[in-house]
Amino acid sequence: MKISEKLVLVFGGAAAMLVPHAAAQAVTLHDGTFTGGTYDAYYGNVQVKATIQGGQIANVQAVQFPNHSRTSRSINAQALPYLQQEVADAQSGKIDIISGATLTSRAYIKSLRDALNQSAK
Amino acid sequence: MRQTCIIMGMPITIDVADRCAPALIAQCFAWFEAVDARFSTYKPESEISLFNAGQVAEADLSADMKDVFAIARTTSVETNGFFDMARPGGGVDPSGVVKGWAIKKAADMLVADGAQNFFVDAGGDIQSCGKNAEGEDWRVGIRSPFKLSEVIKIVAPRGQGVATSGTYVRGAHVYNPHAPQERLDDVVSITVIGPDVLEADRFATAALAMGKAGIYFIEGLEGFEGYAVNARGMATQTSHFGGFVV
Repeated sequence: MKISEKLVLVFGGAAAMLVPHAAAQAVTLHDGTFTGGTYDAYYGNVQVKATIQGGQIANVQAVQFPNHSRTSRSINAQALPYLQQEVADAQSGKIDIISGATLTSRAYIKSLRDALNQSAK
Repeated sequence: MRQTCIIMGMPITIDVADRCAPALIAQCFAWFEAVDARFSTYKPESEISLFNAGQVAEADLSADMKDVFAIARTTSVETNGFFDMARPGGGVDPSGVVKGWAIKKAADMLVADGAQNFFVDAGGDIQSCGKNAEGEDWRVGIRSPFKLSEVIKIVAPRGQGVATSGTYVRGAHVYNPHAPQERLDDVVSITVIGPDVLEADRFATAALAMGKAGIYFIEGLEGFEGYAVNARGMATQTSHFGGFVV
């Protein structure tokens, strides 16, 4: 894959490839300006131009971006939203409720039912 | 006063901090039972099954069913088809929006009865209102996709809805309608905070189907924040998600 294609992927959400934390498997960036291909970003076509200086991303501009839906509005305003990343580590502290994907396995429900029955006694 | 029941195949918890309200909570659970009876695609006699079997015309559907169909169709347009209630084998399955819709309606019932401090949690999707019994903001823990006993973030939604979609418990229960065979094994969990639980739920479902682009989709939606975790344990958050973190 060419570097310019990799840069376009940054817009599509694969920023992890090129930002700290996940950058361990280093990608060598060469200085210059690179225009990526045009990709369907689900809400329209996107094409970006990136400037690399000293092996780092110095600037990314959107050459082409969608502007027809409410979805794309604030992304356009920022051209490339840089989203904060972190390692998902265990947190402790008081909580009232837990949000997670729906737990539907039979084993889980059975076990929970047991627990509820016990706690109901 | 807190109670949990298993309805629609998932634990549903209602906590009314204002007062002891067993009749009100029972009324909410009865509502979820009624939703299950009407919307379960696993029950051959449910209204949705009868509709899919061609035994009920769309014009003759209940007001609730029409309401849910309208929400599902709007969501499909707003997510460019990433949410789609059409089933690969034919018929429709709007269950991706039913849960959020049912929770919201249950919360409306509590408010109509005068409750001001409560939460309704159905399978990890939550509508909270007011404060907990200690008079503090309700605190919601986001479950680790890797270790179910662990919480990786604590947020105070302050009246907004919270929903999490993930591939980690059911296997890939959300699929990309534009590439059904593609495994969504990169993003394993995405939590969305939105104006209410219905809004959060329908966009969390669609954002998960978008894979890596999902968190950027949420970033672009006004009034929504998100927290996505990928298979490597890296989390990406939208610009103002931090405002909810406690």
